[in-house]
Amino acid sequence: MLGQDTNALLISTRNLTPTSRNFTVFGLPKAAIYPVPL
Amino acid sequence: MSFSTFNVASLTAPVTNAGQPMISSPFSFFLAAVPGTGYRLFRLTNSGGAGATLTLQATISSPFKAPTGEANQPGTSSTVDSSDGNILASPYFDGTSIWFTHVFDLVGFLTVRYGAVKVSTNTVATAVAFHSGTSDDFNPSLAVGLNPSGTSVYLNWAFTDAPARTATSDVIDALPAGQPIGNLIGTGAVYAAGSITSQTRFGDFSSVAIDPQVPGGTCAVAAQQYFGVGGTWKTRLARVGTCQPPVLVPDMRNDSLAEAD
Repeated sequence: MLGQDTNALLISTRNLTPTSRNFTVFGLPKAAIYPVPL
Repeated sequence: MSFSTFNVASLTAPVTNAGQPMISSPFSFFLAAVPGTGYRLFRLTNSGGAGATLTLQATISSPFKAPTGEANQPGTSSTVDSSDGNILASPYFDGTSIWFTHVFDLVGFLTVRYGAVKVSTNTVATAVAFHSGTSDDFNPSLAVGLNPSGTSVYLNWAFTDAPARTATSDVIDALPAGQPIGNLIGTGAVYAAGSITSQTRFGDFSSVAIDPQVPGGTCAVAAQQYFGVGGTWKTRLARVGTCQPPVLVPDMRNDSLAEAD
């Protein structure tokens, strides 16, 4: 699932393995995604 | 680019900040709905970049029952999958509270629950939304508009009503700006009427977004799934609210004919 605030792209995942499942969340700073224009 | 991932105990939704322009917040938020417990509120520092930490800010008591069945359809024993009670559409932060929605079981019926977690007090207010006393209501999403009068909420979901011979249909309802959270029962506008299906899997797509070109967050665009004749998935889009931008009319009083031209 995706979300965002002013500084970050926010992501959560549901991960399935052959024997189990787990859940993670993380953020990606927008400053790292969108380079400063030259 | 390096970033950290964080394990959490259950499906946990990333929170989107509302507003046009988007409001800022001291942290990035994540929220999980937990059947039997309530809500888990997390905050992420540093936008998830180097050195970021994820903190469980609070477990907020507001128990609800997870769905125990699927949505019934008229004239068939086939049912439609309606999720497991998790938050499946991004909640929205209005600067004070995080607005969310998910499905739960209310006296045997699939029902939409929506609400707001106040992040300064770790408290929650909730209400229910459903089409009728015999409907199954599922696949919800919401968005919030920021207005000088307060926060407005647009809530979008699908329902079936087997006793009323209604197959999967799409509905949207709204909480006007500044109005306290309350139950939305039978007050929504039905914007798509579909057919039955033999597929048990629903498409799951559901979204609401505020139209950024209309000031005050008074207009929203919703997308929701239903089934066409033959039982295939379809998606209906709707634009709802006060969507006409205000028109500025020049004051022509006392103008001469030439000035009014």
